[in-house]
Amino acid sequence: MQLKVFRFSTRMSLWQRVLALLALCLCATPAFAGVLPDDRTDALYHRYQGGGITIQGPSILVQKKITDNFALTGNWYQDYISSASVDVKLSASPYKEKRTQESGGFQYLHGKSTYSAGIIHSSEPDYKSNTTYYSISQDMFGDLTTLSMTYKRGWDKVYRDLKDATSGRIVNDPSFGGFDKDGNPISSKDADHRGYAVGLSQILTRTLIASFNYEVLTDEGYLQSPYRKILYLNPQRASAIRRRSRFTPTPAPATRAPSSSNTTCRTVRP
Amino acid sequence: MPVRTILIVVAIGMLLGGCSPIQPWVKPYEREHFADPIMSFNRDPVSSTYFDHVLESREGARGATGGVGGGCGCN
Repeated sequence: MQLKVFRFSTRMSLWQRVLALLALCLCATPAFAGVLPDDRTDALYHRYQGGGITIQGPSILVQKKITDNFALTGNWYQDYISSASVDVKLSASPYKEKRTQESGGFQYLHGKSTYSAGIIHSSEPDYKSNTTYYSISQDMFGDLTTLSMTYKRGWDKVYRDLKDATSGRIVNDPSFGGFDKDGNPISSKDADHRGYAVGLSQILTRTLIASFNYEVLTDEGYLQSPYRKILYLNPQRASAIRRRSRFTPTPAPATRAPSSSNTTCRTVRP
Repeated sequence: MPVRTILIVVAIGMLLGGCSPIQPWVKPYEREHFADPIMSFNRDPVSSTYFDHVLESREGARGATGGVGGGCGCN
């Protein structure tokens, strides 16, 4: 009987030994310590009414486990918006538009870690948005604690709709974003978003679990409504009040950095 | 680094070495309630995503909810 024992070859370089150790560490982690969400298909019809605006539409979500440690998710969502917001009442006419959002992502489970990533695309006549997100969560301390971190990045394009004088149709303002170096009009302005989130969920007792989330968001670019305007009196003109008053776009900062937190507890009575 | 600092660090390390690792105070066989869907933080993902969007676009409350991205439908 021959007994074979694996041992490091003395000819292995330092880097090869380090890589071999890392490979052993990866093999040593339990293969399926956590679980991914079950397969599901959800359909939702939503309706929101308030503040002079009505939004309604369908939403469909599909989650599918391809293997025990890899799952895909997809969502299709629509908003049908009608009536008028406060801003539109002030300086424009009531409107109707449709917003469509598609998203897709995956979850990969390895040992006690879950990796997630995805992309979200949203499109409406005067606003287009693309967002990607990356997330990692780790179970620890006997699976009583789950720590998660998420980074998301968004690129938005803001347009301004106008009524075309000749055709009467609603079109994007072709020079809303100004002009480039060659004098060509730019129809959109950019808004970038970043988000950094950490989350902690903790099993406290046999029937109580708590979750705490904290997120810092940073926004940069055109962060205001292209339709919102303010009316002010021009003191330079002393004649009739109609000639003294003027509309001007609302001044707004080009950067924002809000932060938010959220604590949730769930319990069940046995 | 003075010898005294090194000795203190070594002494603290030896004392901490006596600590036992954290023992789970809720054993795996006591967690049957957490398998109940009602204990999930995201029990209805399509519905919670919609409410996150409403809160963000109508009330300006965003972040820390798990919902990400998308336009507003509010211009």
